[in-house]
Amino acid sequence: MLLEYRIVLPDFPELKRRRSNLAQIGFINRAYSQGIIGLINRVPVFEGQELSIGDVDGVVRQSALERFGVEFTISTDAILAKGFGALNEAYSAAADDLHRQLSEFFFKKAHEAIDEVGNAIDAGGQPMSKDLFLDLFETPEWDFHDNEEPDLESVVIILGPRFFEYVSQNLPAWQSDAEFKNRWDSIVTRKREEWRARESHRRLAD
Amino acid sequence: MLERAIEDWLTKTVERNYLPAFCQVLIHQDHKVLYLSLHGQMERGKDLATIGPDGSYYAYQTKTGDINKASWRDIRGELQELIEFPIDHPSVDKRKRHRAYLVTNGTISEPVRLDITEMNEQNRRLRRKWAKLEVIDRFQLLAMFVEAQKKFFPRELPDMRAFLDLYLHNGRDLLPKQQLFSLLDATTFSMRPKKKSDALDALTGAVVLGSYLLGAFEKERNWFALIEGWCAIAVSIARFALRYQIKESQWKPSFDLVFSEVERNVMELRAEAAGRSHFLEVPVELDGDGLLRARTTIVLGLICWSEMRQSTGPAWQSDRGSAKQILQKHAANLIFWGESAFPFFFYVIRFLEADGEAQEAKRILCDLFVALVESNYKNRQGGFLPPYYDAEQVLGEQIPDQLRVPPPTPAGSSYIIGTLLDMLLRRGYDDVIKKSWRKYTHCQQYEFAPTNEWDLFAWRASIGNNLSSFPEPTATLPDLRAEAVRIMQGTELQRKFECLLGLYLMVCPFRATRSAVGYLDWSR
Repeated sequence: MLLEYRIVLPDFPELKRRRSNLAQIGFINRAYSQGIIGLINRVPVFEGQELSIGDVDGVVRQSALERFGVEFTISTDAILAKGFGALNEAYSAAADDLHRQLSEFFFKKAHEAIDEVGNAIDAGGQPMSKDLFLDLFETPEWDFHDNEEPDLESVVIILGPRFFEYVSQNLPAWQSDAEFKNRWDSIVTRKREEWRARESHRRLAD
Repeated sequence: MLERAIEDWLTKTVERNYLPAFCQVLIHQDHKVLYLSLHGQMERGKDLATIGPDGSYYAYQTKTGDINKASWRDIRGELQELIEFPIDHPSVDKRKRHRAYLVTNGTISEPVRLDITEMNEQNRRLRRKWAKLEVIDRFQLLAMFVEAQKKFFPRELPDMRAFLDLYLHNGRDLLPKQQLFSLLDATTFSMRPKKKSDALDALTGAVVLGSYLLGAFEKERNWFALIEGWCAIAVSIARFALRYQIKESQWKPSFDLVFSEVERNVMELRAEAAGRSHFLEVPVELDGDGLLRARTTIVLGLICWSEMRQSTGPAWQSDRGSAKQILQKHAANLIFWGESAFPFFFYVIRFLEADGEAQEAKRILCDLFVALVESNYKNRQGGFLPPYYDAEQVLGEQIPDQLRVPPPTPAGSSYIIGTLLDMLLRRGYDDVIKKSWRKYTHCQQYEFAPTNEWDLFAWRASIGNNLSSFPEPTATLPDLRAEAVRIMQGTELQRKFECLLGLYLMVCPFRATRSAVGYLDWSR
């Protein structure tokens, strides 16, 4: 197996190793660093094949590792025409495919978790509006900094492209609306109280 | 191939390096080791003394290289002691004559052989009750080692490559531990022993293989690599024994022999550290800062471990005063590079406590705990890389000379924060715990639990559970303390391999679980 082919022409294995390294870095960055997947802290699994994940409520879920993979081929003609660019193109497409698989898996798991705790919001077919937008901030837990200012990085709202565009266009106008601002402030106040209550629960008794 | 590889090693190595392999071959022949020189100090001309299967006493003096007339004159005095004085050991009947061997990895010239024959003849004629001097030269050693290894020589190409990588290693770098563990798994310990002799063959194969794989490191006097290497062999023996339920009487002599090599190299490392004004290594222009500090942490951790262990080896020499001096001199350079540094800090803390420096020990322990709590709080950035990343990997990440996939952001999770909490609880440092408790409860804790007990001694276990959990937000100090104290009792396995456990955690820091550290955190 080691000697699958015989080298008959001059070759550059070290440069190929470096190209391979470069392509793999690009692949991993593209697959794991974009979108919702890029926002999640990842902890590698170094050994074993099972996971027992305990959440903040102490509920432990058992699961096995799931395998994701992407197959791709690069034709000799593509290499002859584009060289290393052909490999990069193939890797980019494969990385997008893997990213899609990971995102779908994430949303599937997120839906299961949302269904389990019952905090889904049913818009009842209404179009996106400022009220509906604010509703999205009502259900998740918020974190606050030690100075009690909201830590908005802890609240991630995922919107589809159409809603995102709609919100991006309208948000500046909503933010100058007194009613919107009042409701936002009241959400912040309520979330701060909830956070205080949660944090005060983290107590160590003698 | 096998014969050539062993011959190549044998002709280039020194007696210190082939002595354990030779000793193991004797163990395989049912010899019981009475004495093994730990650091080149012979006991009246004897590097090694055994009782043979026939009940006779055997004494060996080992040498490096060819012995000709000139070198023969140089060693004559030592050999006179070898044959004249009985073995000095409590279980030896001094009235009974021993058999004496001169062992060398070179050849013995014909004139020297004639001198030896004449000397033996003269002693016999004069009715001196001295031992007859016999010789074991390179060819006999080679035959012994080839016989011990032939069943286990790597046959698959990847194993062969790993073998050559280690054998041809420059000897100056850190030991490629994964390769050594994998090679032992794939060769000597790859098969279930069907009979007693299979197990003994495997144990002998491991020690002989280890001797020549570590030869390059021996040549460079790379004590830390040798400590890790012999520890990896001891750990692999322990795993093999547990997995196949080998009787202790079969594996223990080999294990003890391997562990005596660990002890010898620790003593060499200590001597080296004591004689140094600084720990820089050549080329010093490229050394310093993180490299120096990581090296210092490793050395100080090992020295403190060596002082804290309950040694049973007769040749082991404790020197608390020297250890204290080295620690005081270099403590400012301690660095917590990542979670794999924890076992080294653990032993520094334990040593300081045992040495009456409880306040300094408390400061280090509390600083570590607070640093972990704060760096993991908020779950975004910071944190320390998991214990699966060694110092070289962590430091390598800070040198921007190569494109590589960055390691994951560890923030918000830790393998050792619970272990540190247990240490604080056991010491009653409640004020620090209370102050950090709220933030501590935000940190997700990880631990790996192998399915099979023997895989606690695996480099990586293929079967097992990755556990993760958050601390119970509301807890009571007495409950937490009771659990932290309970685990100090340890498990049967921890008790059985107590001598190995502390060092093993430094070699494989990802095995520093709450249970393992809890057991070691007990002043017995």
